[in-house]
Amino acid sequence: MRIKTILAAGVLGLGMANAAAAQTYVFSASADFSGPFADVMPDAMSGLRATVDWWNATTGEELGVNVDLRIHDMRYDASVIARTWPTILSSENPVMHLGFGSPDLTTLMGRLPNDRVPMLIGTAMVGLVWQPDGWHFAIRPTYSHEFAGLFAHLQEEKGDILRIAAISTQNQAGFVDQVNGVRQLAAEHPDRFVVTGTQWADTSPVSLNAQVRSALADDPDVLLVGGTTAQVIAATNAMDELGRRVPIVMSTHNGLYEVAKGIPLERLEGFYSAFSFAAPGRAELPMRDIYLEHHTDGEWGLITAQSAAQAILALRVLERAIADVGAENVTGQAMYDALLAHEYTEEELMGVLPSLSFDATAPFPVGDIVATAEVVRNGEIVGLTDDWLPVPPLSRW
Amino acid sequence: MIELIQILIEGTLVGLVYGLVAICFVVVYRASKIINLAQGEVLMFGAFLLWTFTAGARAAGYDLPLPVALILTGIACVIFGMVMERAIFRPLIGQPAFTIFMAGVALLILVHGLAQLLWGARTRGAPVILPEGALSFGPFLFNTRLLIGAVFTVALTFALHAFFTRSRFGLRLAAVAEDHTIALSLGVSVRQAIAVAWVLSTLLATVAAVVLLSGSILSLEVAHIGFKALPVALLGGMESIRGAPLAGVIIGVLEALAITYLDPMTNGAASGVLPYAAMIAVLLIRPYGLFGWRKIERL
Repeated sequence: MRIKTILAAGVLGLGMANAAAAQTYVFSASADFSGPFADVMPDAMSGLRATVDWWNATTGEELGVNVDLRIHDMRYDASVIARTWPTILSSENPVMHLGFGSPDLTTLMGRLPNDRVPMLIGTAMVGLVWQPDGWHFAIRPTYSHEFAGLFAHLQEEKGDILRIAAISTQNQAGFVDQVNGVRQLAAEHPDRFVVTGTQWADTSPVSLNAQVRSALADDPDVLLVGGTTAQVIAATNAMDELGRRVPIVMSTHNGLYEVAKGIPLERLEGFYSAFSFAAPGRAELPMRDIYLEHHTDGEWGLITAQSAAQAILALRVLERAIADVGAENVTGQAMYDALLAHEYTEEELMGVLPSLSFDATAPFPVGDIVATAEVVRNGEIVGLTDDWLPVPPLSRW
Repeated sequence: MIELIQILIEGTLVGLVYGLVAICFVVVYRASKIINLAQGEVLMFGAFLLWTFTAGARAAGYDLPLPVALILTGIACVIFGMVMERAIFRPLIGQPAFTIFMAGVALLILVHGLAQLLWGARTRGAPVILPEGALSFGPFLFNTRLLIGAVFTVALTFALHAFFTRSRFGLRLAAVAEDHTIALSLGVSVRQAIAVAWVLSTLLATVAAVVLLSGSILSLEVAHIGFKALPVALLGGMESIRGAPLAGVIIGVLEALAITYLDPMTNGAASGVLPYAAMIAVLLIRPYGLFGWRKIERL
């Protein structure tokens, strides 16, 4: 009995010693299991978990560091974030927060510099928060940058000025900002783009016939609908009724996969979804292989690729911070410094993001910004190109 | 000229959808003097019930014929309407208007949360009940889904008006709408009248959901239509069945005209403001709405 007790105590002691040897850092993360993005959240969180699990088992093991991913249901609600964040800050002491969308941005961006915790969001940025010296960053540039990358590709294919019509909503500032960014693009590159007009509508319109008719009267090459899925469906229905066909360009939150829930893909032929992380179906994608090997739930797809991209960048920043200050000394400040001080290559980001670098002038990757896009061809969603799409220079608007 | 007429057609069709939802407000108000702030949520709940017996059942391996699915949806709506009336509003008969108003707010939150609990917050494809596409009459296009909804709204308006003014039971409901105490003293069952109104309103809201969502997507955000239709009901008069679709047409046409002619100059602001500015202007002159009863109590 005594021998068994001694052995058990020894094993327990060894286990505790190993656990104590690994330095643990917390990544807090915002989820939305009960708000507008609840349907994609299990897959989104699955992407974060699988990437962190893989890292802990490989690089983390080598470095003697363990990342503890703490996921919080913020409901995509600024008030929930505002009252939850102080508790996260005091009880979990995260070195980085993985945010999700505008509520995180609007609620936390003002206080993060004082909290000394950088935030990295996986959704696209908006020009409204394009300010220097923030502690809020996105793996993606603004929606307008992403659209600009696709528009530049389409303009080159056309060989003439690309005529862009837009349908958006005044109900959400971020959607207005998308259009403002595209207007800025046209203003800076008048020889390549023109915005023929913008039609404003409800987020859940009963009908968009009037708006689509007005938009099509200007004979656009593409119709930008970056707002809601309901708007894309209503615009598609309106074009079918009017007997016209102009490709719709959408983002990811209202993208092809979402729209396909309401409309068969055959009716979306030639429509685009623009974003700036690797299309999940890309031929060579190491991140997908990692996910498929390490995920315990969820399915690989657009939102999973996005969250995996968010996680891998955060983890690479942690590696650089460890290299800079040591495995025992990583803080939010060290993470912030590492994010700005280094370049992160596409190879080390496992192909799911292009090579990225950040500075204090903008809350998104700077330098040569690139994007990508998916398109519906023969009733299937496929990548538009194998390569990244260069985004034309775009000044702050 | 053709463009103007087309705009008027589209505004009218959209407006009649608003009118259909507004009728739901009116039906409840006539019987119970309650402005059901949760009407949008009731519509959304009915839409989820419809999804459950169509696409949901199909996904679960029970591919129900559409008529059967519609009947089951109707039965579920009747039960839902009865539960709302019985559990929340019947105990409040005779209570101050503010108490009932707050109960409406509570119902709004409750139904929203219940729908999220039962079906989750994710968006899903709404079943295709009505034919898609448009009908052409000369140079003019009529959205098939909205046209069917418009015809239904007009027919429903006449039917409900006849019911409330000519049928024995409808006249009882009208008596209840006039005054609960007087109706009780005349031997009219106020409880029964109110229950019927709630069930009818829930069924109509589900029909409105079909017109709104057929072939589109279904999400919790659909409930917003309730707050779009409430001003329509106020404009038409909270007791007026016939006023609701007419007010809907006014709002819809003004909205369509503003979208085409004013929005380009106002960054989309005009279509959001003009119809309701017109509504306020009318209410300043006729505070009981276009066809409302003069003796009404407002919150």
